[in-house]
Amino acid sequence: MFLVAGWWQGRDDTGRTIHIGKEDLLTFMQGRAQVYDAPTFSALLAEMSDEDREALIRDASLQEALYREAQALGLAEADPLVRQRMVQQMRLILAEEATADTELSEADLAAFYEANKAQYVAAPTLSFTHVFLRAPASRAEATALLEKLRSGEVAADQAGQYGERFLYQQNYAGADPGLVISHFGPDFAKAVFALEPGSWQGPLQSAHGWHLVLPLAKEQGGIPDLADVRDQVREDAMAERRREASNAALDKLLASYTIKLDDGL
Amino acid sequence: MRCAAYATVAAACLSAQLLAACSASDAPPPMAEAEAARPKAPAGDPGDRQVFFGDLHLHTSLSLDAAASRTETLPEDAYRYAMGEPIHYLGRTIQRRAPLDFLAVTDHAEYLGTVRLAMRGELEVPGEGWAELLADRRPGATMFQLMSRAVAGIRGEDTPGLSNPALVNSAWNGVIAAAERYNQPGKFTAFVAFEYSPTIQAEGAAHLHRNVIFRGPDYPSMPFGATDSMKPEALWAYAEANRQRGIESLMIPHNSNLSSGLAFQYDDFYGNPMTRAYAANRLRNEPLVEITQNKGTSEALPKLSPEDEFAGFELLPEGDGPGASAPGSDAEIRGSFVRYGLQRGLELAETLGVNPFEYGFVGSSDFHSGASASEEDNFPGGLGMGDDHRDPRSVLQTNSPVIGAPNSMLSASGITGIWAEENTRPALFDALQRRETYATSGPRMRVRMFAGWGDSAAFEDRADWASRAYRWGVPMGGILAPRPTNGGAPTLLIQAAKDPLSGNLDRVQIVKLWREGGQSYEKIYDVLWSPQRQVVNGQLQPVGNTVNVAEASYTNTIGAPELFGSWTDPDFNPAQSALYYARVLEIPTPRWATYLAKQTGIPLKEGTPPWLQERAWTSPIFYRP
Repeated sequence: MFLVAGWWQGRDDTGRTIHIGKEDLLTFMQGRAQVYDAPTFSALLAEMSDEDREALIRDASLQEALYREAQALGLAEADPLVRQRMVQQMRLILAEEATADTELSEADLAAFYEANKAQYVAAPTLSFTHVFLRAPASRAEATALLEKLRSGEVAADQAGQYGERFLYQQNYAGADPGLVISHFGPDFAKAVFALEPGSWQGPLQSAHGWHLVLPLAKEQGGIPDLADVRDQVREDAMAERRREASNAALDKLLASYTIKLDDGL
Repeated sequence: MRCAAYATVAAACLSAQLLAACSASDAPPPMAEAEAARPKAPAGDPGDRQVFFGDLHLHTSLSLDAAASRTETLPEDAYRYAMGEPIHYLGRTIQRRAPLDFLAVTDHAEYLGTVRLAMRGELEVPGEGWAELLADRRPGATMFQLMSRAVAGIRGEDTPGLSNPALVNSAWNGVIAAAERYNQPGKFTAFVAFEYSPTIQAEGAAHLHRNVIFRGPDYPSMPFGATDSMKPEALWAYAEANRQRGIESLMIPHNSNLSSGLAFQYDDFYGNPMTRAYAANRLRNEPLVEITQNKGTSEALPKLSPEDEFAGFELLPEGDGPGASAPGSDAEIRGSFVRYGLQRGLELAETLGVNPFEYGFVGSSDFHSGASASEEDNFPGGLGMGDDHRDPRSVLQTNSPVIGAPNSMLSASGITGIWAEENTRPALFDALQRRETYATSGPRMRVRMFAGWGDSAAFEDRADWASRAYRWGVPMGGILAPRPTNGGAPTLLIQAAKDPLSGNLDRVQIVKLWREGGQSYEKIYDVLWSPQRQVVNGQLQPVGNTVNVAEASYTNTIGAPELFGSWTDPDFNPAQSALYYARVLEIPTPRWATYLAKQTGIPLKEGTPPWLQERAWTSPIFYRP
């Protein structure tokens, strides 16, 4: 909690005794510095000289005394800033209370997922490495190199020793069609997403030249099962539930009042 | 500066972070430690690093000025837009064509979130005129009146009602929560960040603004604003105190073009000469500078770089408005534009032994819309109702009272490219710290640059050339290894590949800055260019121009998709300190205002450039004698 200004321990019935404890001093110091970081201020308090501590106690006591006097005069009512601060605090407290024990059942989760399926659609992705021969290399040259890669059972991390410099990447991890189209063109993208992972394949042609491709992993994409996106769905559903709960709490509060309007409004 | 434990808590040490820093900052760490703190490249083959594109400077309605100009987006919207999802903005649905890989929402720390609450009627601001201004929903004069009052925070002023630490804390917690929610390691990085925005009225509204980017996963309890201190030194103390508690951050100065010469001064911000320790501390906190954005590019001015035919790029118009550029004297310009700041850094290093301005580059949007929209043909505006595209005549034809020219002169710029192992907060943050970054005016061209001693020809054409280049030399942002005894001159190896969705490439230039006989110099070399070009009297001729202004179109029939090659400095002198950065130019393409003119049939105002040569600027590679 950071909204501690004005909250105070150590009252008594007469209103003329002020008790000051360590917690009170820490609260006072943090309120004064407008920074809420108890460990730092605790350390500061512990290292304080007697003289400084006395000055601190005087200031804290004086603040409490003045606060009580102000309360007696009803100043909170008159000052729009104080009023605003109280309203703001109340709003926060209501929201916190309303959402504290927000829970979701399996059915809630499933219902939210059904209603918002579209936002969980995933594009298909492909991880692959490729060996590149720049245009105007011929298909025959590419095919010959493919045989070499196959017969040598060249692993993905050795592929960089073959072929030529490509203007974009040599390895692609979880690339979606948009990325592949932008780097290789639509025809290549269509062809490469049709390949099955496991072995050197091709040659495939792009606007830049010929490519020998080793697909490593493929994800189909589409609408995922709830089980696969459960955490994200849960978080989204909770966020919506909290929003609804805090709005409902405000509505409920307002409904418990009768609003009478002046004539002509 | 030392703080007695309690008695002087008030003025100098407004925050606990500063309190802790007060005792520690007497002796900033020496250079060796600052160097050691810069992370080493992690294990693994750096040749497999990928480039990730994103924006490290964006505002939502939590910012005092964005709220005043009727922007309603929140950090959640900003992340969704960056990830490629559609969002609502000023009554329209907008969506990026190519999603970004990372985003830092950098709302102004001053009055964080409170102007938004006041605009929504949830917060009362006492005082003459506020109620009327806040209730008025029209664009125009009253909006600018509201703006000038709402931004008092960046001048370091408190405004009753808007200055409210408890509400700032609440908004800051919301900023952190939004970033946590949208950060998806491996897919999308959401950095927690804020902007520190001191603006010195007495110096012609000089911007000393800095974005503070956190590495995560821990964050301080409050951001730090101009209302805490107008001196960037205090911000670094805040950062250092956080660092000692395990909270790492870096700061990026920006809009140096609006700094009235204060961005790259010889002295510190109190007017004292820099010391070695000061320079090391500054460098440790600020490894990067922003070179381009919505409110102008801060690379160089034609006036001081007459030999640079491409220096006059997307400059903020000079004029009367409070937000117009007023470059002032030559000395002021040298303190305001990055190229001359880099030269001053080399100069200061001669006496201090440390270069306080050893910057890498980033490019950002600084839009106040919540939408990082750097695509020229898909630009919805960036300043809320300050440049509302629902009123295209005003955008294209009417002089804005802020910049003294039509808003069509503002830039749909820019983004940052980061070379990193993976798209995660730690990997990207470490790359920012080692400056393996480059800025672009918006397109996603891929640029690599290395510098080393000796010939790179043996591996240039190999598929795994990048892996070998890392073993041969250092990447952009690096410091050249000590020169071997018979080392000759440094060689730069550069690859630039076009943005698949944008124009072909015109040329790659190397900008060299160096010190000689107590003076600073600059020279621009054309080093790579597209085929079939003419060089007349040593001058590379223009690439041509296919832009059809009436149709807002161009063709990739000129230029090249890739430029690759090496260049060895022909004028190298091993005794002179120097730096090299690459500038990659696209062929001319239409500016965003030209697309808007075509869509609406409203012509550009005379003086608005109809096309531009988009570009990238790599972080420099530094040579120390």
